[in-house]
Amino acid sequence: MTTASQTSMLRRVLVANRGEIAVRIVRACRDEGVEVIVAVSEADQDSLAARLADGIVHIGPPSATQSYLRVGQIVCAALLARCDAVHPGYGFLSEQPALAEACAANGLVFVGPGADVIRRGGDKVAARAAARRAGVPVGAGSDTVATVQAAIEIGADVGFPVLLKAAAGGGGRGMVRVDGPAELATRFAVASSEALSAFGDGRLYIERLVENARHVEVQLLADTYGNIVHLGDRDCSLQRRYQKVLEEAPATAVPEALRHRVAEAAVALGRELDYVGAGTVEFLVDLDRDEFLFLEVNTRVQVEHPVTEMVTGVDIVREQLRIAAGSPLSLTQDDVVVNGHSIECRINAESVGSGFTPSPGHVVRWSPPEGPCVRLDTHVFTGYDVPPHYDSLLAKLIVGGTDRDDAIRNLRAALAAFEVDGVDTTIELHRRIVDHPDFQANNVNTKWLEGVLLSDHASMSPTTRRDAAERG
Amino acid sequence: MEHKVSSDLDVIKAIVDAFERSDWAEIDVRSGSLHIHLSSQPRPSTGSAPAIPAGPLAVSTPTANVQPTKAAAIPAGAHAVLSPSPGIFWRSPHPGAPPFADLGDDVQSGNTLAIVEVMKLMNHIASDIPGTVVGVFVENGMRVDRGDALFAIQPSVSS
Repeated sequence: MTTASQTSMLRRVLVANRGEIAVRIVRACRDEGVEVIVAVSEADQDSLAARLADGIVHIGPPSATQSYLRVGQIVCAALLARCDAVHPGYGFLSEQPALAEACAANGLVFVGPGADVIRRGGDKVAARAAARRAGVPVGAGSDTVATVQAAIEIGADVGFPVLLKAAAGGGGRGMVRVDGPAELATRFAVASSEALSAFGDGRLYIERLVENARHVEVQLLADTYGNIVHLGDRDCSLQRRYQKVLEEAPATAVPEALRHRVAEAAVALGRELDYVGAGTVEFLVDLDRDEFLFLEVNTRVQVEHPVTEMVTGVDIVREQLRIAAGSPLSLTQDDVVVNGHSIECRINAESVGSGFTPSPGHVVRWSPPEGPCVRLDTHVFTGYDVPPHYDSLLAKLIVGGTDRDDAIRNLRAALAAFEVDGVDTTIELHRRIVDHPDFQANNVNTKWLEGVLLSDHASMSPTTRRDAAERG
Repeated sequence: MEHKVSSDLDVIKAIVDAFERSDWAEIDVRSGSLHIHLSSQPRPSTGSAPAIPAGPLAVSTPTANVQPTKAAAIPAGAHAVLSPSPGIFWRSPHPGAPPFADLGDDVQSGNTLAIVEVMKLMNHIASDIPGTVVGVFVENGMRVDRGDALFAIQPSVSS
């Protein structure tokens, strides 16, 4: 492994994000002995991250388009606070090449890959091409498809149902299922206009829909010396509207040999992209065909990174800071050992009983579980006002165990002890998931949450839910 | 990394320099006693519409079970359209676009009157009756709570 001076270090980092990930980055900076400043909108000036940091910079009104999503505000905030680096977290500007470029142009270290890698990894069509070059299987489908007629021909070729996906997309946005050629004309227009409004880019591509799939992803770490390792896999099959709800590591539902091939494929793609930093390669594992298909690359830290940290003992955010400072990776592939099992529940401020409507407001009581197997990543506390301007993630409850069954036992106890008043949360949904025999048997796929659990849940009355909550 | 403490003047110079080399229209950052505001144009008058972020999906939320929070000046005989949730009130689909519905406009049942954005979800607020818009109670971009009166609709006289 190539090594370099171990003394290179960042001096002061600007956190260009909010919520739980801002708190997470502040803690990692503390652990690395790096000063940390948080950029805050008017809605976040009293946030937990702001309180924990060495200082704050005000970057504008609550609306993210006027604060966290403005490259100029972030760069000038970093300059004003005399920072030498910017950590973008996830979401917001984390995968916008413009921020990485503006940082470089102004002498700031961007904690993440360079703008060109973000472009090649983030553009889904370019990433599929890179995957093919790296010998990684991609779903039957197309590169950019320009017309409805072309889409009909490709659909006939790969076989319906297919997914229309935004070339510039991600996070499940701009994805439309098409069951036959007759639907294509209208769905194509809808998908294209959705992609244009969400990403400013209406280009679409087509993929064959895998009906019985697990979402498996591989965590990569790569330094500036060409060293690249993977930290094993995660299973994120429990999704609602393509948004992850619960994630676990390792992906024990997938046969060992297939998991090994998936991890090797992720590393090969990382090398093909000249990847630097922490990144994730996402795959669909087709359980019926014993195959895997490349989905996308996320060129940033993931929401669900803690499950990997729990089973490997590697602090991914600290590694990001070290890589950004020009240090070599602190570990080789042989050093990566996966121990036990870890499960993360995303606790969102949502009313599950009324169609997952967001539930911002005043948190009257915040009483999370504690214990040796429990980690909670959150920015919430009793008395916190959950603002309506941002996403609904309140906390990530991460629970470990010696194996999956043990982790589930510990998780059930932790969820039973988690009490929140004032805003509606998805805690009860997670209790129902972990109590379900399909989940306990690890017999789920990406459709299971909506198709099985939530279709049952619709019949559950509010009273039943309250009783269930009180039973814990 | 180089290790030097720069003066306020150095910092201001660096920011002005960054601004001049960029295509940023405006910069406004504040830390401690330093507040830096740079604009390539004259400062816009107050009340300019902030940009509405692109939402993942637009949904219509039924308002039937929402109770009004406070008395707004609803004209006699008019019907109040209430906010179904807390959020941010947007009168037009994107900045610079005309409002969905303005005072005096005739609307049909189901016509979108505004958007209430809550946690990245765009709720289309629709009129639940046909009629004329006779009251708009919230300014664009302001926070609303569940039950706040947003519009007053004078029902059409049935023919």
